[in-house]
Amino acid sequence: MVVAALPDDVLAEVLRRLAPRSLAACRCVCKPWRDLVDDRRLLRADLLPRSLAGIFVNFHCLYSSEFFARPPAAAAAISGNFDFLPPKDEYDQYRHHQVEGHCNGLLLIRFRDLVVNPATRWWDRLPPRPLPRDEMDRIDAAYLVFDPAVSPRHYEVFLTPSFRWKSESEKAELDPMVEASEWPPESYTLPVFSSRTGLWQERSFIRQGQAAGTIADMRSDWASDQRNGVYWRGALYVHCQTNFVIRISLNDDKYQVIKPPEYSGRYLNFYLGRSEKGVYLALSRDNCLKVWILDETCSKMKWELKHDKHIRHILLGRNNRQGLGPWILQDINHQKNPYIYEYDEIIEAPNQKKVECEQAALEKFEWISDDENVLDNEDIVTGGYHEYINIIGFHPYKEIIFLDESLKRGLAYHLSSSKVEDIDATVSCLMNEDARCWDGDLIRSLFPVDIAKEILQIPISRHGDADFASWPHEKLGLYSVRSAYNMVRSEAFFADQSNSGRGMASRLLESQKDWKGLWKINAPGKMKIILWRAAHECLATGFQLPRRHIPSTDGCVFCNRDDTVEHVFLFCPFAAQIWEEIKRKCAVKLGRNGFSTMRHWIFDFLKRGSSHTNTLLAVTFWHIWEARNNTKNNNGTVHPQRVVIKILSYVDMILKHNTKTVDGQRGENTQAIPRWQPLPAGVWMINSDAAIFSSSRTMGVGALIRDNTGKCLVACSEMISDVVLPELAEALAIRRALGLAKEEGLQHIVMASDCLTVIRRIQTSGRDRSGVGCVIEDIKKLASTFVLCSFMHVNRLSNLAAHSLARNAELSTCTVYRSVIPDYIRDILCDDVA
Amino acid sequence: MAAAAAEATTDGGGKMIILISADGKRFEVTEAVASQSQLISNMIEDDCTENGVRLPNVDGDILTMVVDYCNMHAGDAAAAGDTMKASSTEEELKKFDAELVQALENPVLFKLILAANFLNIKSLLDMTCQRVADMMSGKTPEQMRETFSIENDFTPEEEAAIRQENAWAFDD
Repeated sequence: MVVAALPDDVLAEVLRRLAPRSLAACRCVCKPWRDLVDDRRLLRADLLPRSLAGIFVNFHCLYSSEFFARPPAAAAAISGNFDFLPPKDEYDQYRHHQVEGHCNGLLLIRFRDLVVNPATRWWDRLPPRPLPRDEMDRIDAAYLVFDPAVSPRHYEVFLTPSFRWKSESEKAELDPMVEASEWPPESYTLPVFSSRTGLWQERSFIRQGQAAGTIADMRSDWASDQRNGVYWRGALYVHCQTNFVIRISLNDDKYQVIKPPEYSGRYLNFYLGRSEKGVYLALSRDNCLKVWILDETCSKMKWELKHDKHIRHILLGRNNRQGLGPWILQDINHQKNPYIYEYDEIIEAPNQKKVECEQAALEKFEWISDDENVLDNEDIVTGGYHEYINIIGFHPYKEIIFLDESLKRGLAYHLSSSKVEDIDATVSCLMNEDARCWDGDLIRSLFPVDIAKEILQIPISRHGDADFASWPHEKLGLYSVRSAYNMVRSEAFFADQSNSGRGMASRLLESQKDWKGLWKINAPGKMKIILWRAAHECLATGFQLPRRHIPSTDGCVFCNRDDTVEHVFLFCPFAAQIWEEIKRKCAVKLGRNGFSTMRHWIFDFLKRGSSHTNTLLAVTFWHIWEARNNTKNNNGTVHPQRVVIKILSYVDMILKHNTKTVDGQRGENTQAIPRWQPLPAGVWMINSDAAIFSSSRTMGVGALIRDNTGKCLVACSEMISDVVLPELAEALAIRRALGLAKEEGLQHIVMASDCLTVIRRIQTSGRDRSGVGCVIEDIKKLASTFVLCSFMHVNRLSNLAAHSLARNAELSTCTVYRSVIPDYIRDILCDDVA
Repeated sequence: MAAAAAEATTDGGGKMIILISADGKRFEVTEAVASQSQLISNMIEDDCTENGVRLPNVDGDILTMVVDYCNMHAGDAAAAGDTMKASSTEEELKKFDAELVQALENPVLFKLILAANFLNIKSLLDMTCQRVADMMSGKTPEQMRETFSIENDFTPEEEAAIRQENAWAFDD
């Protein structure tokens, strides 16, 4: 009887009890076993350490860890944002998640003591940590142990202490016996959390071999920064004070002190890490990168120097090269708190960056640098090299060390070949270099839908023009104060500001309508201004003047009561009398009873009234104000009756003479359709037009090339995706039409479009800095390659053929008709030449 | 005689049931013992155990082991009310289980698994499967082939490719 006799169900029952590592071995035993493992998805390879999905980096000045992600091809991207953690309260979304420890893709997060797997979005919370025994003297640091290949569900957290540094006077108070005792002690007791029990428990580990020194020795080294710990094959390695490493064997509760490499002195920034072949120690000093690997054969526990090179020469060699590695920085701190992030350049200090997590997730990604991406170190450029190098961390499965250069860019350094890659993503990573267009699939896989749309509709120059700054609120893309002022006043700006919670009036749209209504009143500007000022309560009344420290008599000129706006215009006996007179002549309802504020009253009146009464209001206000000022300035008081007569005659005059005329009908329809106008022989006429299909976010290009007699040579109808702006669409259509003419080998052309703004842009000399600028520049460059190329604006009607071609583009991606005229434009063309 | 035996009752366990192995050996067990097997338990419910239960794919010596196992564990189940007795037997049971599977040769173990699977005795199946899993864990593919006498039907290229797929498992 052999295993093969077992039915699949029973065998599966056996295999599902195995740890992933053994299961992977089973896959290699024979084909039936492999098929069984694969068919039943027993080996969840997608959850296992296999490749690097990204790096978390802690910056000293930023509250949350930043996540540098390797973009996945198709599967869900890993987010470093931890947005899947349930919020504890409404402020929680502003809390920061700093990665404190990590092991095989599992993260320990300082805030709330969470253990998180960002790949599977699983999380757990630790119970409160036990306090250090002698609280003030020691600081505990936590180290996570998680081996998915041994147990995919369980993890442990170890706390190891460091001693605080003491000044001379403080040292005198310490117990000399304790200070002289050896460290770490013979039996080293550590608080350990195990997810199996869900408890913090003390575990003792018995030392093998020598201690590292005494407690007094430990105090001589800095304690505050947490040093790294790594897990490798059943043992936890912790980098301790004075640079020794302890190796805690988890299976037999023993530990061992590993002395630092010979090189060492104090205060060196050793970096302990795990990589392909085990436990590594790295040091970057004086542009020199040294890497040791721990030799554990025959329990030697010695650091072997593996790499020792002057890295500055290598880095100099790649100064002229662009970064090519497609890494994406997920801007987590910016997402969480834009205010803080704005200052980062000021606060960022060197030497304070360290990697916190290598993270495993997706099987498909292999960190193998394609050769063209790798910068060869042989082309050394001479010159100064003034950058400093920090170690970010080790690649968990390959002999690659991540470095950063003066906090400016990240580098991946291959230890064996001494090759360097830039790991910053640049915008060019998102482009298809040859076709000079966006890599739509990549962008859609990386960014949220709305952002992807925004990116895709940015035009890209065909000629690789340099980038330029463009101000979108001005036609030519050049900044002007006026446009900025208008932009700030615009509704969209206010709406945006209030959406982002910066406190703007919620009733903004409504009040804006009110103000617009005020300015629409059919009355002279000066009167509307008085009305506007009354609404703003910024008229020079006896109430306002003292508030601006202008001496005045407080009382009303007529009745000596409080001289406020409402009093002047509505409640003063003088004003009241005027209103009474007006009421007698016209149907006006003042509604003074429910008066609250002047602004409110005016808008209320305007809403209730007709355009006639609104005019009356403006005129009356102005005249009341004039009469009041005349009285105040001793130019003689006018009787209210006379003011009313003046007001009414003024209103009459306005209604008679100042009525706006309705614009006459546009004469386009009556205009004759322009006919084909013959060109000189040998000159080709090109028409282009664009049509936008907003439902599918695409546009159609129509282009038509005819000879001087009107005979059609080529007609083209093509679809371009992700364009929604009309002007850009027209410019792209012209660029396409010119490209078509170039392909046909024409030399003398006249380019016609019905979009006047684009034609003007093309005819304007100098850089066009608007949003369509780069396409305009392309067109200009292209035009200069023809012997003759002129641009003209034509009437929409004489461009009908191109228009039909553009509209038809929705049906097919690209159609070029040579010496065949499509049916739908034949009639138009015939009409044209007839 | 079979019918008489089937109808006979013992003082402790109620109705007796006859199990007949593939090679014709007969085992007389109480209903409580037999119904640990989900299969037999269902048959008892359906009242089709009158003439003994024929188990055509379980050999006599394997069935001996199964019956032994069931007898031990039925005692445990029956005595569940009596806490003193239950706690005292728990250790013994574990020891018994460990000895049962530990001593087995591979072919016997597999037969036992098959029997447990066929009779649908969950605890026995668990125990035996775990035993096989323990034998597998930590072994390389070569060692596994040797242990379970499996023929390697991969070509060298295929094997290299499949190892590459799970390279993380072979990093030693």
